[in-house]
Amino acid sequence: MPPAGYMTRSAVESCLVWLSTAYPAFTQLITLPNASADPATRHTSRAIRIRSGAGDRNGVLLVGGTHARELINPDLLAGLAFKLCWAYANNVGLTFGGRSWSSTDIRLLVEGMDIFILPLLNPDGREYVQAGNTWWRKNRGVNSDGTRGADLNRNYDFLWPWAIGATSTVSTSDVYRGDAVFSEPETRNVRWLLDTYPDITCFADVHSFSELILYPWGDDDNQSGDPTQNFLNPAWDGLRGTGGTGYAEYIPSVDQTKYVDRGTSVRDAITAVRGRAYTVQQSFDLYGTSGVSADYAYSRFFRRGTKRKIWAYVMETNFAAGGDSQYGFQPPYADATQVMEEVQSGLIQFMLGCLCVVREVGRGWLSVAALDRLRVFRDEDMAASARGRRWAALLDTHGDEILALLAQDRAARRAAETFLEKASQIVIDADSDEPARIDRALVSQLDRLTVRVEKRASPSLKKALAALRKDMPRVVGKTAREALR
Amino acid sequence: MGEERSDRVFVTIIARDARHLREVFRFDLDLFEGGAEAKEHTIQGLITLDDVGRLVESGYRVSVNDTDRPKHEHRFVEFEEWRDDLFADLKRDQKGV
Repeated sequence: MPPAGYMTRSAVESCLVWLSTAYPAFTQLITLPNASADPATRHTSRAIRIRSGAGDRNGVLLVGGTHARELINPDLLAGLAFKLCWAYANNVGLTFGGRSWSSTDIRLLVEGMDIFILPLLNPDGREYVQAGNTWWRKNRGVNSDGTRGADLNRNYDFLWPWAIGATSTVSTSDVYRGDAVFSEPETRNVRWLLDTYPDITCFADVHSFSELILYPWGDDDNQSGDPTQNFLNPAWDGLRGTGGTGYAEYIPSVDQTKYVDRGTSVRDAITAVRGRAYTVQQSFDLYGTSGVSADYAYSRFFRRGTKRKIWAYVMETNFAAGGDSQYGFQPPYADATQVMEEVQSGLIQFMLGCLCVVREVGRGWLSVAALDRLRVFRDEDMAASARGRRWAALLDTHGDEILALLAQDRAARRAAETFLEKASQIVIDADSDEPARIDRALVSQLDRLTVRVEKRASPSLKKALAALRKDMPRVVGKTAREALR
Repeated sequence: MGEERSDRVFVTIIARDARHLREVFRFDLDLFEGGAEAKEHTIQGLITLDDVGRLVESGYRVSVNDTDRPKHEHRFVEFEEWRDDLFADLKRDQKGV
C-alpha cells in the first residue's frame, strides 16, 4: 500500500533529516539562512543535497510547496529524494508504472550531479492548510499594512516593479507580489541556493495544476529576432505583458529550441508512466506574470553575467478531473500518488538531461578553466553554425543515453576520455596564433568510439552518430573553428 | 484582514476574446488555468460572489462550478507512517508483486 495521506509540514522536515542520517555517505542536509515569514512560527527551512563522490559537477534544484494549497508536490519531491537515496544505496533501479529507470541511470544521477531538493518552500502555508484553511495559496508573512501573505511566485527579481498580468499590487490579493522584491524569506532562500551553488544549471519549480511544462518567458510572447526587446531594456518598461502588440521578450533561438526539446523529453517520460499527456508551452501562453521563479533563475545569466545558464521550468502537476478544480489542487491521496509517480519519472528524465557529457567524461582531469572554455565554444562558436548546432544537439538530446552506455563499457569510457583530452586541447587552442588542427588519427579514434557505442544505442542515437561520422572526413586538417563551417 | 475568506466559489470565467481574457487580471483575483479540458478564452477562479457580480458587470460570463467547501477529506500523516508505507511499497515493487 502506498502512504495513507499527505505529509504534515513536520513530516516533510523529518524526511530530510532522516535521509541525511540514514544515507550520510551521499546526502547533506542544508539549513537555509532565512526562517519562514510567520512571526509566530519562524520555521527553519531545509533542503537536501544528494551527491556521491567528489569533484565539480552540474547541479539541479527542485523546489516544491510554493503555493500552500497545492498539496501534491512537497510529498512528490520528498518521495523522489527518498526513492533516489534508497535505489542508490541498494544499487537498484526504480519503476513508475510503465517507465523504469535502471540502476545505471540512478548511479549516473547521484554520482554525476549535485541534486538539491527543497520540497517545501512555504512551511507556514502548509501548516495553515493543514489547520483547515484549505485553499490558502500565499505564505504567512505580515505585510506592511498588516494583511497576511505574499504570493511567493510573484516575489522574485524579474520585472517585479511592473506587476504584469496575473500579478497584483493589492496586499489582500492571492497573487500579491509582496511589499518589495525578495521581501519574503522563502524566496530569499531560493536566491541563496542559486548564489551559493553556482554549478546549478537546471531548475524546476513544481506546482499544481493543469498538466503543463512551462518554460520562460512569462512576461510576454517570445521572439528571437530582436535582442533589444529584452527585460533589461528600460525603453520598454511599462509596455510589456500585452501579448502580440509591439513588445515581445527576446530569447536566443537555440535556447528556445533547447527548452522545447528538453520539455518534450520530460513530457514523454511522464506519459510513459500511465498515459497522461502533459503540454510543453511558453509560460506566457498560460498568462502573463512578473516575479516568477523560473524567469528569475533563467534571467540571472543575462542580468548578472554568470558563466552558466540555468535551464528553468515550472511544472503544473495533475488535472481537474471533469473540471473539478478541488481535485486539481488536492486529489484524494491514492490518486495523488499516481501523479507523483508520473512526475517523479519526468523529473528523473529532466535531471538526466542536465548531465553534461563533456563535464562527466572529463570529471577529475579536465580543469574548471578548460571546461569554461569548452562551454563558451559550445555557446558561441558552435551555436553560430549549423554543423556546430547539430553536434551540440547530439550531446544535448542523447547525453544521458551516451553516458549510460559508457557507464556499462569501461573500454568505451576510456576511449571517450582519450578522445576528449585531445579534442578539448584543439578547442582550447583555437584562439592561439597557430591553432592546432584535427588530424586523421583523432577522427579515426572518434569513428571507432561511435561504432562501439552504436552497437547498443537506441535507433535515434544510431542515426545521430551516423550523421556525425559523415561529417568527420570533412574536418581533417582543419582548426576547431574551421571544422564548424 | 487578509485571512482566508469563506464563501468563495470555484468558477469558470468566459471572456469575449483573448484581449478581454487578459483584462480579467486587473481584478486581482485568484485565477488559474483549467488545463487541457478548458475551452478557449476561459479561465478558472476561486472568487467571492461579489467578484462574480463585478465580472458580470464587465461583460464576462461566469459559471459557478462548486463551493469552496472541501469535497475530499484529507488525512495528514507524520513521517514514520509515511516512510513505513513507502518502504513497503518500494520493496513490493522490487519483488515485482
